[in-house]
Amino acid sequence: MTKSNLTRRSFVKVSALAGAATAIGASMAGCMSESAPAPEEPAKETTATAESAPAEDSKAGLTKMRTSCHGCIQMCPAIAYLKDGVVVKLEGDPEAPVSRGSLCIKGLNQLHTMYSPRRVLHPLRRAGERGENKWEVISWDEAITEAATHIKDAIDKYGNYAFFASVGGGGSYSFMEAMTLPMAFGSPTVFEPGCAQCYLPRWALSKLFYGGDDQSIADNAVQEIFKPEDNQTEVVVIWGAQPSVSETAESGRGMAELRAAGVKTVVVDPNFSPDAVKADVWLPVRPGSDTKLLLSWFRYIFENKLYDEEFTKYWTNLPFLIDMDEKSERYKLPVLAQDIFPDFKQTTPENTPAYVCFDLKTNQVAPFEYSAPADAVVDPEIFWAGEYEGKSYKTAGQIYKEEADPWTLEKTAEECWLQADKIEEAIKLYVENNGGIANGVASDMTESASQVPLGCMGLDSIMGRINKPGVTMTQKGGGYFAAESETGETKSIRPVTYNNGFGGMFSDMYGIGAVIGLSDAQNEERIKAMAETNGEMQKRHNQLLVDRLGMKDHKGLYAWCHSHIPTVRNAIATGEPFKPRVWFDMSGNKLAMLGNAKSWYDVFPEVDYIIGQYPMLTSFHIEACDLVFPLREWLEEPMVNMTQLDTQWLQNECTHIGETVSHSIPAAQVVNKCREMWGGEIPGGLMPGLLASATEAEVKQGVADTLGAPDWETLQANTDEYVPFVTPNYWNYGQHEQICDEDGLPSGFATESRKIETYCQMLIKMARTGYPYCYPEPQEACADYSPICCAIEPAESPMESAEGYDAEYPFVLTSGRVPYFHHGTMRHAPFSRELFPTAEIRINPASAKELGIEHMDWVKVTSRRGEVHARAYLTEGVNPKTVWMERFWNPECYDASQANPTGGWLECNVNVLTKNDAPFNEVYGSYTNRGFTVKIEKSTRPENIWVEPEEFAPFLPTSEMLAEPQTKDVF
Amino acid sequence: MDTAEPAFEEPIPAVQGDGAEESAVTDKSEEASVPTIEELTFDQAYDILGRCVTRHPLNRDVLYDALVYCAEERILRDAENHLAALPAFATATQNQYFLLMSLVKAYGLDYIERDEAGELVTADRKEGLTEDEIDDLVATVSFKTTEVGLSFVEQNKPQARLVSLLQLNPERVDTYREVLEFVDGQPRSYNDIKELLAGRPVLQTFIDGKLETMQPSVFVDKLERAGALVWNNGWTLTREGKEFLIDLQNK
Repeated sequence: MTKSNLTRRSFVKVSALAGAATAIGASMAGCMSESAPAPEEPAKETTATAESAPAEDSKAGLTKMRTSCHGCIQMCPAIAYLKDGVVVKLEGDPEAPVSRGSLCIKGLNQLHTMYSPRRVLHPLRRAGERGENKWEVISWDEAITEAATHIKDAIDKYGNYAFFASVGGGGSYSFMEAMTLPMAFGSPTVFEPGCAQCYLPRWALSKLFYGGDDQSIADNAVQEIFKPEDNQTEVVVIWGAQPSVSETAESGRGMAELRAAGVKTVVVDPNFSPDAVKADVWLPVRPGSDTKLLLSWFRYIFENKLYDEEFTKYWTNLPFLIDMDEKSERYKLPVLAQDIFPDFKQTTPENTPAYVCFDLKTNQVAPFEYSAPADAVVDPEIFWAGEYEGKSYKTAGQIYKEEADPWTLEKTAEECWLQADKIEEAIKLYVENNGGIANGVASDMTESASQVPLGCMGLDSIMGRINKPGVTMTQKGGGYFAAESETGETKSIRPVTYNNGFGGMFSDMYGIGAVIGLSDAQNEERIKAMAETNGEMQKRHNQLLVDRLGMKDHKGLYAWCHSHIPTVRNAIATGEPFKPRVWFDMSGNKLAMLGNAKSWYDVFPEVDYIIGQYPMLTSFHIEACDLVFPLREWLEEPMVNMTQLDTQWLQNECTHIGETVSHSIPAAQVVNKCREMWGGEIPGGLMPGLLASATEAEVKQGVADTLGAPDWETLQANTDEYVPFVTPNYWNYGQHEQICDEDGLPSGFATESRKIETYCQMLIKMARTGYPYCYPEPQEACADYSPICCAIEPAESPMESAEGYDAEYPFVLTSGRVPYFHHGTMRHAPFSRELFPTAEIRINPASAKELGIEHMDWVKVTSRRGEVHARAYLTEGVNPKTVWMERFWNPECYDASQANPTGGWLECNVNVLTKNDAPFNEVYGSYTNRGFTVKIEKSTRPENIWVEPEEFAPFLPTSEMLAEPQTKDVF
Repeated sequence: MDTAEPAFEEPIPAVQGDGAEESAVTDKSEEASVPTIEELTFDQAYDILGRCVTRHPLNRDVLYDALVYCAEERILRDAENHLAALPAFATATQNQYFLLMSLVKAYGLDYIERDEAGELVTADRKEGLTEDEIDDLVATVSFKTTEVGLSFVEQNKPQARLVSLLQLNPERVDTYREVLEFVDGQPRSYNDIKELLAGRPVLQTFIDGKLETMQPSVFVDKLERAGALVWNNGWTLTREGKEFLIDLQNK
């Protein structure tokens, strides 16, 4: 721009953007710096020092409120500064133990998204066709009545299964509400584009594997390694995660502190992420080949006897003999001692079965009862195969060893596009230092969604890195295994795992689902007792489990009560086995989030009525929704944050504009209205059904209760007194060794065998009946799931020798986050869009040269499902045959100021390319968002894609939005 | 693999492999120029009309009925009254005028203005007049189904849809007939139909090679889409459904 054409108006715009970018840069400075405070200098004081006098001056006259960011799910503690009710400044809370005063650009975006002209401040009813951005503002009464009327009409006409719900995509937090809303309407259908593709496999498997927390560094599961005091972590293997980008201020900051303190890191990631840049060893694995790399680690560790032998023998189930007889009922399951030793008398309680091992003391097959290692009468062999009384058996360890055996360092290097010496260096770093594996969403987005976490947890289990200081797999949180007796005395009990929902909440609520760790008789007794008090609900809920879409094959989805997304889509399209037809979506942009987005666009005309709720309009709302409820932004909504270590923090109501409501309220109001229309009860619905607050008063009281305050007003007036809330006895170690008051045995783990089930035997039972979720009435059997990590080649393979190879698509595409956005949110945040205006694809310069592509050229990316455009970002940080895109790019381009407004979801959205058909992950039905093949061609910029900073000016907060009056609670 | 619906001819592509052959971008700015019917081929106009009618299920039957009703020229008031009286209109998401104008924009209806004498008010006659003068000139607004619209009606007659439905799954024919007979004479609730079909082997079907149990709503949905059933405080037969049932019984 030359001086002569710099008009006053454009000058103002450019200045505002440039100034904003500077401000963000300053605020982010703390996130990634790797200068650990001197040992004698507490972190709090360091942060305080950083608050220089000029910074303090900038806060003069401003009202300070403690809150929590909700730019991503980690929810870093933050401080908001207000002037005349408008939030004008945000910064991290220096008292937060991991983020330590950091706040990343995702959080800072809120200054703009909160006051964005794209905000929805009132209920909206479509005033034009689906696809037209025309809306009519209506009252809340009208909106609730309209939604309830359509739901009731559909259920009256077609039955309860006509209703369905969804959630996901960031920006709203209605996971529990979405899960339970269909229950209220007696429908089995709900989905979330995350779930099977994000976190469920890792979360749910950890419960089946050992009953403890998973290894996700992105979802606040991994906390131990970030302890500022007495931190015994020496190595962290980050497998398929990039905390510095995904959760910059918390896990990213935490990792930076660890590295500064000398902790070694290995990063397994096809992309040269900031964490990979700083790693001691970076393994740029071929996308989708992680299972092979994991098996090479097993092989190396087994072959070189680097595992913790004592721990593996006595605390894992790898020494158990597995029935190899295909005709046997217990085929692939561990043999019970009573099965082959009829005279065997078990001394442990019925809920603690005795298995069988090959005893090295006697060189014989022998019963293997549960006990403390020191009390064991056998010395179990981990790797054994042989016959006993004419039948073949192998130990679970032997099965694992045989699976891993082909994966030499050399073969793995060839198949995974790695160097053998680097793999070996990484394994040595891992085995020679205390620590653990921390993983991320990468594997969830592939067919190997269950096998990769089984492998990651399996490695930590054979290394004995569980329930110890410095590791990632722990059972923290306080109160583990404790139970209150009738006398009020706290006693430890045999650990158990409840299933169906978080903490098994639906199991207790409706009397469905078996409890792992109870004996068969105990489970039967429990379910029978619940049937006596709540039989009708139990029967209804069990039927919903049986009828849920996709459950015959992918029973792992039961853990979060979700349906299989491609099966839902196909049911909408074909009407069979029933047609979901009235849709209540509770957050996000489904056109950004769902795999093969166009296949979903195609079925919108098959859905009778679509209700959305969100703080802003996205292309999904414009293309699909008939009604939109306005939600609060995070600066407005009372909530309790995720934990940081043992602390919980307040997300405060710093301000509130428009008629927006907290996220749970629309659904609760609609359910109440439906009940009223039906004269009291929803026919066929479950009771209590929806778990959601119907009023802001309920929301606020819930927050106050969690943080230990008597009421919301007291909490707000005395925030420092109640925040942070510290969970007592949060850190626990060696719990499995503690003697259980109930039976005098070591407590062990909350699994069927009471040991870590490295060979995840529960997956075999699950495939055959739906156990432990679909209980007491079983689900139909499907093919057995693999109980261990096994080698999987992606269905669309770049390997010429593979079945899924197609020379037309020579590159393998994977994806990940960039630091500017979280999921599909914040595309209307002008600062972030200025910094990262449009989709980019990372390409190796050598490959680009062959294709005649220069840095920042536009390219067309084509998969077997569709094509999108992106700018080429040339970098040595990806393999020449790998390309990398942001996982949810989906610009929101509806704007009257644009010459060619568009839905925006089609042009650059990586999810136009992704694969939502079989093969799916066997347990969870995860489809392929990463690790499919594409071709790349040079192209030109699509007409309606914005790139220049000025083009984002319409997203800037307007004077009208900043002048919006402070409003009171609507409900 | 998606099953072709025996309803309006707007097939839904399978999940796999449909690519991006058809732009899903919806450019709906007010200023966007809309081609006249003369600028399109018949097939292009037909496709646009098909998308318009099938775009929203709650409006689908009302839009189709509007095309049928306006085979003769209908004045706005009559058309609005006719649509308002349709049982399906109770759940429509737009008012009658919006729906009629949608069909006009989609080349299914002609928008006709006449003066007090019943003469057409053409563009030529409006030239040079103010908006108020045009309002004074136009005495009535009416709609008449275009050739494209008539073709769409013919292609998607309930009779044809029902025949397709029966051909698609011959093993369900008896059950379809039984449902038609069940609702003939008195409106039935969904629960009535659910009870009627509960436990029937016909509810078993193969989806992707696996045996699944369908909900009875599948039969209701498909008969409704085929134009045989309509909800009017209970499921009842449409006129076409009644005629079709008689045909079936006679066979």
